[in-house]
Parts: sequence; structure tokens; C-alpha cells
Amino acid sequence: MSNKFSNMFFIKITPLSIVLLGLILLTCIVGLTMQYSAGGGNFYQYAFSYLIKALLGFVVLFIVFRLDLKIIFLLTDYFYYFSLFLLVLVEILGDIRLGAQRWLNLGIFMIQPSEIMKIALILMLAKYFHSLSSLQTGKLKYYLMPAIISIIPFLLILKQPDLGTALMIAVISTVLFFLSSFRLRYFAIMGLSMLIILPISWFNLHNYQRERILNFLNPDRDPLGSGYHIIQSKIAIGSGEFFGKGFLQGTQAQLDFLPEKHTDFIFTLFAEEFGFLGSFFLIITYAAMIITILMMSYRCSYAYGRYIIAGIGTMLFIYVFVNIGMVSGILPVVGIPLPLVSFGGTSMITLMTSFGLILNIENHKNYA
Amino acid sequence: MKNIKTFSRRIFVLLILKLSLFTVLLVRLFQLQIKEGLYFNTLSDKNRTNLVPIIPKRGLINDNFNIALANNVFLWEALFLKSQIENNINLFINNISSIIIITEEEKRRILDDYKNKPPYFPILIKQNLSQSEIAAIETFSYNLPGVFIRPFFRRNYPFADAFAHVIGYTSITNDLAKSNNIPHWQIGRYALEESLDPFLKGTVGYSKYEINAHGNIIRKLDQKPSTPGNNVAITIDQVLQEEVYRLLSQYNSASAVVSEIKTGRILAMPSYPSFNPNLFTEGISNKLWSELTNNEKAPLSNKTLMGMYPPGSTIKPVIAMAALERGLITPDTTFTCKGYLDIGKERFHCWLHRGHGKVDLHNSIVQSCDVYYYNLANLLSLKDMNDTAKDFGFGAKHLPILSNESRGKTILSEDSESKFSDKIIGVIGQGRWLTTPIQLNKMVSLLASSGVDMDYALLKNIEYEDRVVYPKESIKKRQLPQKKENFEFLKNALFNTVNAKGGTAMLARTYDSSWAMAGKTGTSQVRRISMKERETGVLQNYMIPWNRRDHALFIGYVPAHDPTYAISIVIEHGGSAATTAASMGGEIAKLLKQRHPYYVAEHERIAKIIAGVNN
Repeated sequence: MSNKFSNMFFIKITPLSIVLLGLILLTCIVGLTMQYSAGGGNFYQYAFSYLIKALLGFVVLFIVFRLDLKIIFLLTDYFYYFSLFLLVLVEILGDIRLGAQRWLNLGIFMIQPSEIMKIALILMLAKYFHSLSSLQTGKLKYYLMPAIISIIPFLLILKQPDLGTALMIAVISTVLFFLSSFRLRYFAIMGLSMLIILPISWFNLHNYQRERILNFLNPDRDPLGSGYHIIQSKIAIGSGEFFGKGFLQGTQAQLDFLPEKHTDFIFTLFAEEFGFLGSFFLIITYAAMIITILMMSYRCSYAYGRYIIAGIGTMLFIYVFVNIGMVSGILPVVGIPLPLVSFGGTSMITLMTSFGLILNIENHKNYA
Repeated sequence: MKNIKTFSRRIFVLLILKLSLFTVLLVRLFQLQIKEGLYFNTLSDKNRTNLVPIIPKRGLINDNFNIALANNVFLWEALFLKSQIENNINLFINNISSIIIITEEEKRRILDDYKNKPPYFPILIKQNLSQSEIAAIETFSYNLPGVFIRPFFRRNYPFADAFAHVIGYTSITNDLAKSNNIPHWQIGRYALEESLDPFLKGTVGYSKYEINAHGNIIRKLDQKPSTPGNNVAITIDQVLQEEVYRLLSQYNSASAVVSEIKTGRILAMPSYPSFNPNLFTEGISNKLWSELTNNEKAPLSNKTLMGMYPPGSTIKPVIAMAALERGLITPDTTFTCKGYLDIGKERFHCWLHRGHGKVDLHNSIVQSCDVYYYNLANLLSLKDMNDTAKDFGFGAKHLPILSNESRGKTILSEDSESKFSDKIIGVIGQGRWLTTPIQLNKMVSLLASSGVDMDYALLKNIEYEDRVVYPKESIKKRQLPQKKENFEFLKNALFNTVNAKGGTAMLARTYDSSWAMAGKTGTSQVRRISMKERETGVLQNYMIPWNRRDHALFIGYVPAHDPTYAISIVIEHGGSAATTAASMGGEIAKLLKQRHPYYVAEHERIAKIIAGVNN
């Protein structure tokens, strides 16, 4: 209680937590600003709703932050099974939106079980690797269990179909495997087998997914159809040049040339209005966030916490990298939002929950 | 604690990996925003702006008395915006065709444009809307989102066929219209519309709008008004041209040139049959086009400039001049005409079988005695004839403002051998000679003016915003070297050819001593008269098919005492020139007498204006 900046609701917290909270707040301010701009200067178009969601997010963050980690640790398995149950449920009676079964209608609001699964899987794997002794790690037979834990949700989400989230889950699992001293030569073998599976899976992709990949490889093949988004997006980013066109001055966005400018393509709007300078600082902000998180992971004294923080850090990284990579045309278009800036409520809650978890662990890093 | 060590090492590797991938993003953004930023900026500007061209009004073409020969009519067209029809083009076409009549061809074009044009490009539904169609569209506009009507100008030729070969026509520039989105931008394609296009077309202006992705206009960014084309006036007299065209239309195919001798101004140059140039501005159908191109009377060619005919007897004054100038004969030299002349083994006939008897030079023209000229063939070389004919405008172009003029052929063309047989039929204007009606007009103008060669003028003036510019006063190109007395002699002979008893062009008489005609007829053979025919009697023209009959020619000028107007007429396959062409010459002379006071008044008016400017 000696330093009022080290307080979070009268609980002493670490300097790294302050840094992370500051970065989260900064990103949310960017988000609010861009939602205001996406609404064409109309606060009630998107910005107001975004503000509500962000505030709700902070409440969630605080709640998760105050939860007892022991209870979280104990309930991990149930949380994972519950998420799995929801994924099966969505398969049976989920709403179809945009050609994919991703949503569960809970009457008042819709939830995306795949979002919950991201956190559940990280917790589950963290708990499993936590339980491995030094002697057990690295041995192949001890990786069968985490492999099954990862593959079941992966397949369920892939079937929805939601290629983006499925790949995200695969990458997070792989990173956690990597951190748990999984032998590098096994990765090599996995990589090789992927090369074999890839052509086969091509034929199992949905038409729209193939279209996306083909259009990503050559957006000009259908300039007014599915390639239109990425062409317009590149024009918007590029035309921002160094200083940008100025707040609310992005012609591409303001004149509706940009698709989904308040959700997945929000970075495009940002880059158009604030130029390379703005983009550079936004990416630096995200990089700082990731460095802080990985430092927290490194400094955590117990495996459960280390893995959770590293997993969440990886998830955050994938969000940012895939989103900016996709709008700037170096990755195919998959529906992944820009963390804390895009309009979507689900990703906001997922992220705030995750940040809450990280802060919780960071402030109990010597917990045993 | 091997585990933790590996974890720490690997989390560091992970950090490096993530930061490198972020660097990739930064490199990518650098590439898009800095390296290619300018390029994408241009693209985004192109995205958001739409240039709507403002089409200038094309300049008028007026006649000598300010009667519009080519003007612009105000029409309406209906268009729609692609972005407004919610992707159901078929439903849209159904809707619109229940309100106005849309042909199958138009439906196909709408579908085509819908597929191929950019989203902001207004797509044409129908042009040339009637009042009831405009009313229908406006009534049902609530049911037709994105449909709008707008006015446009179309080129119009009020006098249609009679002027087609002088005025020409315009058509919409297809290529330009496609690439630059400029509809109704007309380009001159033929005759004066083509050669005066730089003056007539004006410059295109534009309105630059900011538009959104749906093609809706947000605001106007910039505007540059169009500048209308310059009005031009030409020397043609609409009344005379129409009247002469009417005279020509009594025959199957004919043309005439009427000019002012002292100024070189062309007053009329109709060519019959002709075509309606309005068909071309509306876009001519393939059927009509092939009808025009396959017509044996060649309505698409301007016969005053492109028609080439042997001059027949109209060349006799020139041959006479050639012989006089070289001192080979005098006006008193006589030859005897027995109706034929034997040269070597061959016999050459005069048109008058019983012969003219003893003929002097004067009568050789008045009575058009062929035998007299056969005798001259013995004296003149091909080069002599050729040189003098060239002095009188043969083998040269005279009206460069109109394209496609033929040069014709003189007797000593490059491909000809110097044969006596060429010469013997050359002296009576048959064989190798080929002249155009404008060349014939030139020849008679030069005879009438005693060799004062004036350049032809067709353009009278060009109107700029604040002033009217007249081209330099008619230019005297040169004075022919031939002797004045020889000109006077020939002019007297031409006067008598029309007015004396026994003159071959007596049907061209005006019976008006103050407005007497002087002239010469000519008949040019389309076929050779065979020996067998000679024996059995030459077939009369009415007995042979139209397209094998002789051409009838007339050249002349009025009034004989003060040569002012030169006339040349060619009636293709018109039979005997002495009847058809000569009487038409007389008719034109009478018309000219009626119009003469107007021409004089207009000359005086312009002389005053020019004097006023010069002071």
C-alpha cells in the first residue's frame, strides 16, 4: 500500500503488472478511437458499444484476477470437459452464421465455445505439463495425453468449420509442447508428416476456404469478388503513407471501400489514417505486451503458471500477427480480430479473461 | 532443474521468433506505405473520385447565309447506377421493360455493360427517349432506384442527302468512350466534319466527384467547364445546292460544281445519289450500310471529286489553245470535214456523219467538229497536249479541305506509251484522259477568267468567342502564260457554241442577253463503237443498258460578258450531252441569276466588315 501506482483495488501488484495494464489500457484507447472513426465520427455507431464491452472486459479481468488460483488449478479438468461439451453442443444445435456453426444461442447473448476452448486448452495443457517430472519430460509416451487433449478440440473446431481458430489452437499446443522440452527431432518428424497431410487436407477444405487461399495467393483473380477485400485493404494501408491521412480522413474507410472496417479490418483503417508511423507504434505496443508477458512467464516459479502465461502470450501474438498479416496481404483472410481494438465482444472477453489470469499468476508467482 | 533451464532457453527462442515475425509485419507495412505508398495513394484517389465528362456542344456548320447545314439536337437518355439495383439485373431489366420498350439488342448490351463496367459507371438503358417514355420513367421512378435521365446532344443534318458529301458526318468515338467514360463525344468522320474537326469539336470539361464504394456521389471536388466548338460558315449556298441537287436527281447518277470565278468560292457541289448522314450519327445498321456500299450508283462517293470521266469534247478549247499557243495554227486555219478522216489504214469518224465541210477553228468549237482535231493530232505532240491540259488544272487536286479527291489522269500518264492512237482519240477527249467535275470547273474558270488562277475556297469563316475570322482573301495563285487574245478568241467561240445558230450547246441558252451563257458540251464514250456497229448504224443511247451509255458533260460560265460563275456538270451515262447536260447548264444559269443579287450583297457586307477590322 506504500505506492498507490502499485495498487489494484488495494492489492499490491508487481511493476510488470503495471506495465501490462498500461499497455492494455493504451490499446483500448486506440480501439475506442478507431471505433469512433469507423463510425464515421458518430460515437453511437460503434464506439459506444465498444466502450461498454471494454468496461465489461475490465470487470471480467478484475474478477479473474481475484479468483483463487488453487481453485482454478483444481477445476481445470472440469473447465476443459465443459468446454468440450459446449463444442459438441454447438455441433448439434448451434446457429449457422456466415456458413459456419460457431455460435451457441443462450437467449440473451451468443457465445462461441471455440473461444472458451482456447483458454480451457491452455489451462489443461499447463496443468498436465506441470504434473510431469524432469525425468518424464522429453519422453514421447508422456506426450500422448496432451496430444489427445489438443487434437479433440482441434478437430471439433475444424469441423464447424473455423480454420482460423483451429490453426490457432494447433499452434498454441505446438508452442506449449516446444516449451515442455519436447524433442526437436519429433517436431521435424511432425513437420514432414504435415507435408504429406497438406495435399490431402486440401481436398477436404470447404470451397470458400480454398477460394480464400487461392485469392490470397492472387487477389487479382477476382477483383470484385472475394479478392476485393484484400485489394481494397492494401490500397487503404498503402495510401496512408508515412503520416497517414489523418483522423477521420481515411477515404477508403469513410467512403465504405473497406469491408468489415470495424471488426477484422480495423487495422486497415488505423494504418490509413495514421500511416506507417502509427502502425509502427501500434505494433511496438503489441510487441511490448508480448515481451512483458513472456518475461512474466520466465519469472514465474511454478510450471502451471509459466505455461499458462506463455500460452496466452502465444495466443495474443497469433491474434496480432495473423490479423495484420491478413489485412496487409501476406496471409490469407481468416476471421481473426485485432486484440482489444476490433469490435467483437467475444474476443474482448476472452482476452480480458486471459489478461486477468496472467495478472493473477504474476501476483502470485511464488505460489507453490 | 533441467526442465526449467530448457523452458527458459526455449521461451527466449520463442520471444526472438515472435519479434522477428513482428519485424516481418513492419517490413511489409514499410513496403506498402512507404515504398509503394504513392502508388496506393493514386489508387485510393482513383477509387474515390469519378470524373463525369461534360461534353461540349459541337460547332455549327452554316452556309453562306447563316443557314445551319449541321446542328445539334437535344435528346434524352435513361441510365442506371449498378450499385443501386441490388444485384438482380434480370429483375431490373424486367421492371424497366415493363415501363419503356427495350429491344432484345438493348437488353444484351445492358447485361454486357453490367458485367464489365466498374460499379460507379452509369449504364445506358435507352437513348433518344420520347416524351411519353420520359414521363413513364418519371412516374415510376419510385420503383426504379438508381435510374436517371439526362440530356445529350446529337449531331443533326437538316438538309440530309443534298449536303452529305460536303458536310460529311460524325460518329461517337467508341474507343475513347470506353476508356475515358466519355459518351456522346462526336468525332468528324467524313468531309468537312472530318477536316474541320479541330475547330468544331471543342474541348471536353469534367466534374470531379467524390464517390463512395456504392457509387453514390458524396460531394463535388472540382469542375472544369467544357468549351463549345467554333461555328464555321462555308461558301456553299444552301438554296443553290438544294436546287442543283434536285436537277441532278432527274438522272440516275450525276454531279455538278458551281463556283465563283473571281474568288474561287464554291457555291454548290452536289453529287447524286447521296445518303442521309443522320443515319450515321444514330449508328447505322448493317443492312443499310451494305445497301449503301453495294449500290452501283455509289451513293457513298463524292463524284464531284472522285468521279473520273474522259472529258470528251469539253477538252477541245484546251487542245485548240495548245495548237494556237505553239503557232501551229491560226484562228483562220481551216480543214475540210467529210465526216471522217483516214490516217494510215484507219478511219476516224466525226460525230456528224455527213461532215461539217470546210471548218475553221471558231466553228470547230461551235460545231464540235472531230475531224478538225484529228488534223491537229498530226501537228501536236502528246507532250504539247499534256502540258496545256495541266496548265488548265488537269491531273491535279484542287480542294484539299475535302479528303479523297482524285487526281484524275492526263494523257501522258507515267504508264502510257506515246502511241499515235492515244493521240488521235486524245484530241477529242477520249481514251486516257480522266477528269473530275472539279477539274472541269477549274478548266472553264480559267478559260473564262483569261487565265487568272484562283484557289478554290470552301471555308468562309470561323467564329471564335468574340470575333469572326475570315480566311485570307481569295488567293490568286498564278496567271496562265497563254496569250490574252487566244483566251478572247476561245471565249467568243464558247459564247457562240451556246448562242449561235448551229452551236452544239444551244440548249444551255438563257435567252437573256444580260445573263448569256457560254459553254461547251462533251460526250465521253464508255464503250468503243465497233466497226460492225458503224456499218449497221450506231445504236442510239436509249437502246443500250443504262450503265453502258455515254457520259454527258457540260462546262460553262455566266454571264458571258463578265464571267462570274463557272459551271461543270457530269451526268453519268446521261446519253447525249447536247440535250441533257446542256439544258441542265441553262437551268443552273437561271438559278444563278436569281441568286446573284444575294451573293453580291453578302460580298459587300463582308468587305465592309473586313475593311472595318483593318481600319
